[in-house]
Amino acid sequence: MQGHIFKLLFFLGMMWHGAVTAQISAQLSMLVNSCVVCHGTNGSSVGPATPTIAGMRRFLFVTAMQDMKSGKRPSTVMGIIAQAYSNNEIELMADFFSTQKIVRYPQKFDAKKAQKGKVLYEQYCKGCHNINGRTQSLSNVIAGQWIPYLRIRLSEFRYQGASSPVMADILEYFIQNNSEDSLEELIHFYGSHQ
Amino acid sequence: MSHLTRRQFLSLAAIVGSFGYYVIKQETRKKVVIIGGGASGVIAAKYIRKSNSSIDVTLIEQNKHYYTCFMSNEVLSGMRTMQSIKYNYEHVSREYGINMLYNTAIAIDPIAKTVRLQNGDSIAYDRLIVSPGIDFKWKSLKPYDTNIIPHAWKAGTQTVILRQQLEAMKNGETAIITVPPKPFRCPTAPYERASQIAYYFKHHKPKSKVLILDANATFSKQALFFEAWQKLYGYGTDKSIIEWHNVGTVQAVNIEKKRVTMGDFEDEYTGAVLNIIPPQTAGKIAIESGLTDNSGWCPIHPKTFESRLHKEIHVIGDACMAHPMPKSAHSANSQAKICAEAVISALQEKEMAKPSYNNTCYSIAGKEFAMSVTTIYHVNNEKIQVYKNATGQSPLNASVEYRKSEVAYAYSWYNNITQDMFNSTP
Repeated sequence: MQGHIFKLLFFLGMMWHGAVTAQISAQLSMLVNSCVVCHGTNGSSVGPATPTIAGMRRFLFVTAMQDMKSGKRPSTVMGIIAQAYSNNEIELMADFFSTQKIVRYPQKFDAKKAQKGKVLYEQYCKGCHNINGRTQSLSNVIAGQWIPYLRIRLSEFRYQGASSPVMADILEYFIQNNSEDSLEELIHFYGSHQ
Repeated sequence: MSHLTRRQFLSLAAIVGSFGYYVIKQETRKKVVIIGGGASGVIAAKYIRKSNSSIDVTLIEQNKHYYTCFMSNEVLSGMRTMQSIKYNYEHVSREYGINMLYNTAIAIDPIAKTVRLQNGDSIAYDRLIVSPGIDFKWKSLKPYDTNIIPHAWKAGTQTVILRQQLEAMKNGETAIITVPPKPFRCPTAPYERASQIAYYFKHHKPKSKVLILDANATFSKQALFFEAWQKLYGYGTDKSIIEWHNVGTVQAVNIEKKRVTMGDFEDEYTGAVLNIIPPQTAGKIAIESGLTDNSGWCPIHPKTFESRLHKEIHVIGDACMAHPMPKSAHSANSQAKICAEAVISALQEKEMAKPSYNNTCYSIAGKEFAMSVTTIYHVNNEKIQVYKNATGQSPLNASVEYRKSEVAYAYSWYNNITQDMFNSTP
């Protein structure tokens, strides 16, 4: 009998918990619904340039928002938008988007470039930005990211590198050993994953 | 019972519980009716169903196809086809279980809580959302044939007419755009339109000009547009493809001579193409239902978008007075999501989540030249206000790469917001 009472109490508790979660989720929806206008349903953008933010590393999502808020990371509109959100709200958004599955949409790419890019990928990028899954806790999945965005972001790393000195150094090293064309080949390789 | 594990018991309880809940809800399902399936109406329908599938949502829309006003200026320059801005409601209504009613709402009875349709049917609601967009204030102008003098301020046939007229122009002829007094739908669109037409002239009719005759002394993104026009279309020189003059409102239209009379001084201007953007009000149904005040727009409570004039009726999108939010597709999208949450909360008698208001607006001035304005708002003292310093425009004299990246972001904004609305592509 005692067992049944326990179960009943537990069940009621679960219902109460459900009601509370629903309230939190209304607030969370309100927040993330603002993001999806530009970043796509659940953070998977239909492109051509606004990046997919679904499946971002939680830590990197928070860093991206905070760095755009402080101006450390260059942006067009995001530096302005980020001003409106508290640390707590940014954490909530990060919780949501980091747990969303990435949906990849087809995009045009140059197959020859992508093929050449594969060799460079194996040599320079695979360690952190593996296309078959995550190997590094501090790196985002970039396979299938929008090509125009990859181009913009890499250019930011190279010329306005404050937000990631590591990437700035790596790219400098990459260009010294290769060429501008090979960077484009890498971009096509990543973009070719759909 | 004793053979069940705790997990099994909980699953069973949840199934039985939700079944009972379902049966009860079937009988007391709350009904939301939405008038108008534009940038706000269809989003409100989708987001109510997305958050709460026990609410019955009916969307009344006149047309089976929807042409977005946003990006329709690119049709005028030939950069885009009509097909690329054409959508339908099939996917979104199927995926979210929205009842589509392709009909025209002609009257609202706020006491009986019903909407009357053109076919004579009457639809009952618990909450009504009115999102009719804009209508034109013809009162101030003698009516004329808009097939000859198009406004092209609602996308569709009107856009096609204006494009055809521009194509039929001879090199050296002038196109005139008249801009009505604020507020009107999409505050930067007349200037983007002038830019897009100038782009077309530059490549196809280099001796032609666009003349903007404006009722307003200043306009949104003005400095950015001047910069774009200087860089792209020779603005400020005697060879400029664009001219802008603040000359007051349209006084008279001569349809045979393609002539407009402007302002207090009654200056006359003649062009091969006249694109008169008429003064605007909230959509007809809002006016006829007593949802508008003297201004012609609908006063609302900013946190819920419930009308200040009729209870249990909400107004969103271009028709509502949400100043300082501009009348834009992005504002409409944001308002619809807030309104959806307000309606759900009201029907469930629960506290509403803190609303989040935002707007981003891109203007494409040339093939690789766009600029943006973005703002986040909040409610303070029952008023919508800009949130601290969360507002700004593209910088002046930005690099070529920056302006080009904003074109890519503008297209991304368009693709994602239309995906949000229709769950499909054109």
